[in-house]
Amino acid sequence: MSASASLLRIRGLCVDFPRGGRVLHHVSLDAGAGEIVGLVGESGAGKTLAALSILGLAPAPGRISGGRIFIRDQELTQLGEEALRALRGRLAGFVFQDPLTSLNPVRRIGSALVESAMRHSGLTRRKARERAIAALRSVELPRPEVAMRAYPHQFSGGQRQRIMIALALINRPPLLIADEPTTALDAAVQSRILELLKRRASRQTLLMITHDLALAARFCDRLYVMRGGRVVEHGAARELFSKPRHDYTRSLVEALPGRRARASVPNRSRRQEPREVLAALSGLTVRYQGAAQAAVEKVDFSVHANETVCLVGESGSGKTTIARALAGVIKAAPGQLSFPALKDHAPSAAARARHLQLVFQDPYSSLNPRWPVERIVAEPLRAHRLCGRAEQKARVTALLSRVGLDPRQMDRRPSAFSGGQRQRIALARALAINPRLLLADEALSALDIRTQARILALLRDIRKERKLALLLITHDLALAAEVGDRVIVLRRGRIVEQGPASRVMNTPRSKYTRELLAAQARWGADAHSGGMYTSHP
Amino acid sequence: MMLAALAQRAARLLILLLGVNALLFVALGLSGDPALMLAGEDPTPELLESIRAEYGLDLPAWQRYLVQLGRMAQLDFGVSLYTGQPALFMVLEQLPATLLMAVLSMALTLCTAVPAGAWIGLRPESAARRFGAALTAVAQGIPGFVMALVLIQIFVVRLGWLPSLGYAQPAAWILPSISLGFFLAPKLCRVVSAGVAEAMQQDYIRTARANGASMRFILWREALPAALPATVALVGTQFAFLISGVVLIETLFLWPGIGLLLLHSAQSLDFPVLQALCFVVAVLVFAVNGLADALLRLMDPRLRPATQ
Repeated sequence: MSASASLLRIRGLCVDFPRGGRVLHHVSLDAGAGEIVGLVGESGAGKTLAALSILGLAPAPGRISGGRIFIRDQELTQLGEEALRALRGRLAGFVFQDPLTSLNPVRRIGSALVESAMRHSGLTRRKARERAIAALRSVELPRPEVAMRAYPHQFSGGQRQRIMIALALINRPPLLIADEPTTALDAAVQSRILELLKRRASRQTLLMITHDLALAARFCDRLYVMRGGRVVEHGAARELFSKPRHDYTRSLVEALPGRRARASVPNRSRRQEPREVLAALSGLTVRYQGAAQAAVEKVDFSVHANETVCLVGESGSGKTTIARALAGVIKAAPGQLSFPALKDHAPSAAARARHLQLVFQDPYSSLNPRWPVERIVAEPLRAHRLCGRAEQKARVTALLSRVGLDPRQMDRRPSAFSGGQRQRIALARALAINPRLLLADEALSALDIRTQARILALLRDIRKERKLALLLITHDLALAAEVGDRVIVLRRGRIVEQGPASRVMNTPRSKYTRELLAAQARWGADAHSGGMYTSHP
Repeated sequence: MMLAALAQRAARLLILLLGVNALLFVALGLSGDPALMLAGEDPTPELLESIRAEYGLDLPAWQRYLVQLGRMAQLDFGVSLYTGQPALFMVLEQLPATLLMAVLSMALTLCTAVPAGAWIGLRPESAARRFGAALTAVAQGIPGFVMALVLIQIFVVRLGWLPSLGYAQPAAWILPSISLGFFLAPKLCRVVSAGVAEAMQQDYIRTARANGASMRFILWREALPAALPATVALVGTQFAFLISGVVLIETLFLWPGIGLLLLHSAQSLDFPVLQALCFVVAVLVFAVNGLADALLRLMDPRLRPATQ
C-alpha cells in the first residue's frame, strides 16, 4: 500500500514527558481507507498514548517532540489546540475501554449525542436529534427514542459500549479509534460488540488497540506490535500471528492459553483411584437480601485432593458467590457445604482457613498497602499462631523464594511491586499455612498475557509439588481448558455443564457452553493457529 | 410510592421534633428558674409562688413536660414571659428578616464560591490552585463575626459609606450578607473546586475532549453538573450551621431576625419563646434538608429510584 493511499499516516512520532523522559520512540504507522489496523502490546507499551496523540489528546504534561501525523494528507502536528479541537470527533472518533466511566453519569445519553452533532456538523437541534436517534439505531440499541432520555447507569455494559460507538460515529469520521473496546465486557457481549464494530467500520478505517493478540489477529487486517513505546514488529495479521519474527511477538503468541494448552494435554487424562473429597457442595443455594433471583441455586460439585477444577462463567453467573460461601464469608445453609476431609461437621473458621486459602482477583487491593511484604505473608502464620518471631523470617524467606520473588525485598511494601509480583505475594500468603485447597478467584485476569502464563506455570508446579487441590474461578474458557482437570460451567447461578476439561471443550453438551466456545473461537485464543476449537462448527 | 416516601419523611420530622423538644426541656430545666428572673429584685417567697402557679412552674417535671407536649401538638407554645405575646407569633414575626439575610448571603456565596471554585478546580497543579486553597483555608479560619467587625470598622466607622444597623434600608443589608456569606463561601469554594478537579480526572471528560468539546463546554456541561450534587449536599447540611452564624451576625448588626430573638430569650430564660424558636428552626432545617435531597435527586439521576 502506498503511503499516499493511507488515511492515517504516522511518521517517527515521539512523545516526551517532562519528568518521565521519552515515552514514545519514533512510532510509525499506516492505516489505509477501510482497513482494520490493530495496535497490540501489554499495558504500558504506549498504545493508548500513541492513539491519543493523533488528535493532540495526550494527557497533560506529555508533549509531541518529534515526528508527523497525517490524516488524509492534512498534517496534524502543526495545528494548535483550537484547530485540533475542531477536528476531534470529525476526523477521528474514539471508543474507550470502560463504557461506564467514559460516559458522564449525570447527563442524558441524548444530550451528549445531540450536542456533539450540533458542534461539528452545524445541525439544528431537531436535525441533530434525528441523527442521534439514527446513530443509536445503527448500533442496534433497542428503543433509541427512549434511550435518548435515559442515563448511562440505566444500560448494561454492552449497551453502554454501543452508545459509545454511536457517539464516536455521530459526526461520521473517516477514522474510528477503539481503545480496548471489549476488555471490560463479558465474552458473549464482547463478540457482539466486535461484530458491530466490524460492520460499522466497513466504510471506515478502524484503529483497534488491544492487549489481546489472539483477538487482534482474528479481527484486524494488519497489526503493529508495541513494546516499551516502540513498534517492534508489524505486518499482515495472519502472517504475524503464524510466523512472528520478533522475539517479543513470539513470546506473546506462545503465552496464549490455546497455545499453551496443546503442550499440556497429553498427561492430563490419566485415570486415578478415588481421592479424598476436600470440599463438597450439595444443592448450595444463596439468595442475597432483596434480590429477586437466587445468586446461586442448587449447585452440586466437589473438589478432590490433588486436582484442578475450573469454575467458568460470565459476570453475574454466581462464581464469586460460590467462592464466598466456600471461604465462609457467606454462611451456607446446613448440609449444603461440607469439608469431608476435615472430618468435622462444623469446622471452626480457623480450621476452615487452614484447609482452604484464597487468592483474589485484584492484587492491588487485596494486599495491605501499609504493610511490608514480610508481615503480609506472615499474617496467616501469626493469626494461627503457627510460628514465633524468629522462625517467621525463615518461613517467609522460603515462601517468597518459592513463588519466585527475591526474599531480600521482604521489607518493601506492595507499591514497590508490579501486578504479577503482587499476585505472587498473595500466593505466598495463601501458601503460608499449607492449605490443601487453594481457591483462586479470577486471580489471573488482571494480569497481562505473559505474566499470566508465568503465574500459571508457577501455580501448576506448586500444585504438583504440594499435592494441592486448586479451584480456579475464571471467565476465560480457554484458560479453564488449559489448566483444569474438570470444568464446571455456570450460568445465572446454576451449573449448566460439568465434566472433564477435554470432554467439555470437545463435545459440549449445553447450548450455553457451545455459545461461549463459539464466541471465544470467533475472536479468541486459537485464532489462526488451527487450535483446539476449530473442530466445532 | 410517593405517598410512602412522604409518610416516612413526616414520621422522621415528628421524631426530630420530639427529640428537640425533650432535649430543650431538660436543658432549660437545668439552666435556672425563670420565676427568679421574672420576679425582679429581691422577690418575696409569695411573689415567686404566685408566678410559679401562674406559669405552671410548680408542677412536677413530668407533668410540665406532658402539658407542654400537648400544647405543642396544637402549635401553642404559650406566651412570652416578658412581652405577653404568643411565642410562636413573635418568632414568625422575626423570621422574614432572617430568611432575607439567608437568601441574600446564600446568593452572594453561590455567585462567588462557585465560579471561584470552578476556576481553581480547573487548575489542579497550578500555583493559582495552591494560592486559592491557602486563601480559602485562611478564610475558613477567620470566624464570621471577626470579619463582620472588620467590615463595620472599615465601611461604617472609617468610610461612613454604609449604615451599620437596622433593616429598614437596603444599604443596611449589604454588610450582614457579606459577613454571613463569608461564613459559608470558603467551604463551598473548596467543595466546588474539589468536585470540579475530581470530575476533570474522569474518563468522560476525555470522551468529551475526544468529541471536540471546548473547555468552556466541558466545564459547564460536564464537570460542574457532576460536581454540583456534592455542593448541594454541603449547602443542605451547612444550613443548620448557618443558623448559629446568624445569631452572631444578627447580634452584631442588630438585625431584627430570629437570631437576635434567640439571644434575648436565652439570656432571659424566656422558655415559651425558646421552645417556639427551636420548633421553627427544626422545621426549617428539616425542610431545607428535604429540599436539598430533592435537588440532589434531580441533579444526580443515579439517586432516583429505578423506573424502567
